[in-house]
Amino acid sequence: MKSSGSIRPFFKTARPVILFILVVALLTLLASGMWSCHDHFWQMLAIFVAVLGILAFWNQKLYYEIRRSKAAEAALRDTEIRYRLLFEYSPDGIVILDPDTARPIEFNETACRQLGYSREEFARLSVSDFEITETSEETRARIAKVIRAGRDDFETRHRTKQGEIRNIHVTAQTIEIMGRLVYHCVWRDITERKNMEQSLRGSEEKYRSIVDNIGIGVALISPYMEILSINSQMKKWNPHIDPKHTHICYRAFNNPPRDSICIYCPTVKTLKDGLVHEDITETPMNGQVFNYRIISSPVKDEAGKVIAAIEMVEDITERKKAQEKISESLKEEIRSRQIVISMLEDNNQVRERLENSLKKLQETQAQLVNAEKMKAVGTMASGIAHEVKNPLGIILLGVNYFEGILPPEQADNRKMLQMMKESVERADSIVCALLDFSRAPALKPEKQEINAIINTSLELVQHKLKLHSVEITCELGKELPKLFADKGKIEQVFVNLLNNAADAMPKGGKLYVRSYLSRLEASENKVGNREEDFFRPGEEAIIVEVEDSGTGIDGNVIDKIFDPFFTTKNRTEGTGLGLSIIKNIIEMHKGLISVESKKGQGTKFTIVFKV
Amino acid sequence: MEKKKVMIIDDEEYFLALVKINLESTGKYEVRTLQEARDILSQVESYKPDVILLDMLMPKMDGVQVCGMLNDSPAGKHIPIITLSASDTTEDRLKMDKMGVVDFLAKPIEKDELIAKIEKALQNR
Repeated sequence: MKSSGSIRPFFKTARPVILFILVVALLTLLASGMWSCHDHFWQMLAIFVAVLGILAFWNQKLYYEIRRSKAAEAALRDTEIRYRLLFEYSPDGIVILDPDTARPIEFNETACRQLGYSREEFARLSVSDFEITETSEETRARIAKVIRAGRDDFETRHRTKQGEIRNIHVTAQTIEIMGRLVYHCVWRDITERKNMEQSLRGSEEKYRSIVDNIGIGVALISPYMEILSINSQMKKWNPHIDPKHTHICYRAFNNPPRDSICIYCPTVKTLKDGLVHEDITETPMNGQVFNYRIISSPVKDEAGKVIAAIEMVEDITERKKAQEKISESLKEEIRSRQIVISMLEDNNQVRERLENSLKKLQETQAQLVNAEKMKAVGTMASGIAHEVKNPLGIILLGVNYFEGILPPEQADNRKMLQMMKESVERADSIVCALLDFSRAPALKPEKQEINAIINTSLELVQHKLKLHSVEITCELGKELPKLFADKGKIEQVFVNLLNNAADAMPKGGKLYVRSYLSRLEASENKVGNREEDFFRPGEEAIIVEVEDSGTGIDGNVIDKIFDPFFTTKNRTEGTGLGLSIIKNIIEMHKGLISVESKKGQGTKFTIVFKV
Repeated sequence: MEKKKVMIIDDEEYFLALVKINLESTGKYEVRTLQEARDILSQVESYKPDVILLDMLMPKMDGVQVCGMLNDSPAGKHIPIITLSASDTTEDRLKMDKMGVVDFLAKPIEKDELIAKIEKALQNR
């Protein structure tokens, strides 16, 4: 192409020269003719020039012919290369088969590669060597069909050299090459696509199965509120909906059907703004109202336009009823608690009452335990009494015998016998006190004047009090109501207390005995602990106080003084049962006894009797 | 002076011995002791006591039963009975009164008190 490019300008510039030569040759011929051809030279020259001009002209034409031919040849070669490239580098296998033998005439690299063969190997194959869907006869029949029809598209499967099965889409047609019809095939390997389709189909089936069995309704709703699709749960709730027909959701999903869009419908909002919306319905259905929780999600096209909405519907009718019930219960509970709180806030007495109740329960428990203990002590005491008193009796009679036979001059022996006798008596008194303490004697209560009992008791211990130089002050209330009491037992109480007072004042002192009528206050005399059993604040009671200015009781032991066998006296002076017995007697009369004492200053016993 | 016959029934052997020695040491009493009351009626018939001292709490036959037997028998119904007991309650005393017992003594017993009660019972016979 480059050489022709350099010649063309030459001919372009040579053309006027050739024309000039031709004109000169013509003029020479004309001149020689005019001059009657006398001069041959000029004639010959003119002819020569004319021939030369003609030759030059002919040469130029030939040149153009050659050049055109070369250009066509180059273009053809170019086209062939292009088509060869297209043929060889096609992503699909291209095979031209001999329709008679089904063997390849021509094929590209892709066709070989698809089946894993080299060109040489592939050239020796026939279709039946790799075709596994069709038999040889079927292949021949198909080729015949394509020849008749001119074209066919179908899917088949090929086995590669390695034994792998590939899915192939075949576009077959007949073409004529050099006057001969051949079978032209384009093989597209669709194995990956097929696998993907299968996978997608599996996924679709899986998701459809999930959607159908999740227990919630799913519906696809168009922008015109048409039901496009429903899952099996929705079908179960709405068996009248036939997916083959067009249904409008607000008509189909309600019974009786609604004439307009439901006011709460979240799907309308989703279709409008493309966002997820949620609401709870009140759906009339066969005379009842059902509550469904609907979540609407948009379905958008590639451009982002909302083309449908998916409704996920959950039946929450029962749950809502249960929640309402729980809510009511909670409200009621809250109301009750608020009342309690307001009561607690407004009136601390409630708390005090609760504390008192607890205290009372603890006291009752302690009393019960104590009562059980006392019962056990009682059982034991009566047994002990018999077993101890008999040997004591034997010892005493033995002592008596020796007293009778001992000569009067053996004073020391007599003194020893006397000590033995006193010890027996002391042991006997302990056993008697134990019996007295443990026994619950039946009271013989009668109407009694408390002051009379106090006076009798004072007379009984008067001698001892005088011996101890005790100054007695009696402040006995006048016209006190009569008590319902066992005179002997109450006397025992006062005698015991007065004796204790005398013992507490060995070097003299003052004794106050008071009796008076009093209106009880819960906060005083610790009456409030048991006011519900025996006393109530505001009730009248007779109070008796026995107060001495004696040695007093140590603060460490004051809580124990009513305990059985507790004593601060010398072991020879007391059994430790006196105050326990007093407490028992007072409690049998449904009274209270309490003690106040200061070490070195004195002790006051206060007894409260129910009137 | 004829000695008065005292019969004492108690399950305590030492007690019986000491009552016997104390009473007989006075020279005024003749004492027969019984540790159980099984053949009390035949003993009373044969011994013919002037007074009976009877323990209330005995293992085989208690004082109440013995009192009943004596009261029901011609030989025993006129013999004064003084009961002896370690238990000294009002209830016990009332029970003894009902049985026709003339007196009651709570253990441990002093010799002088015992003699005083026996003498009193003998006088009232």
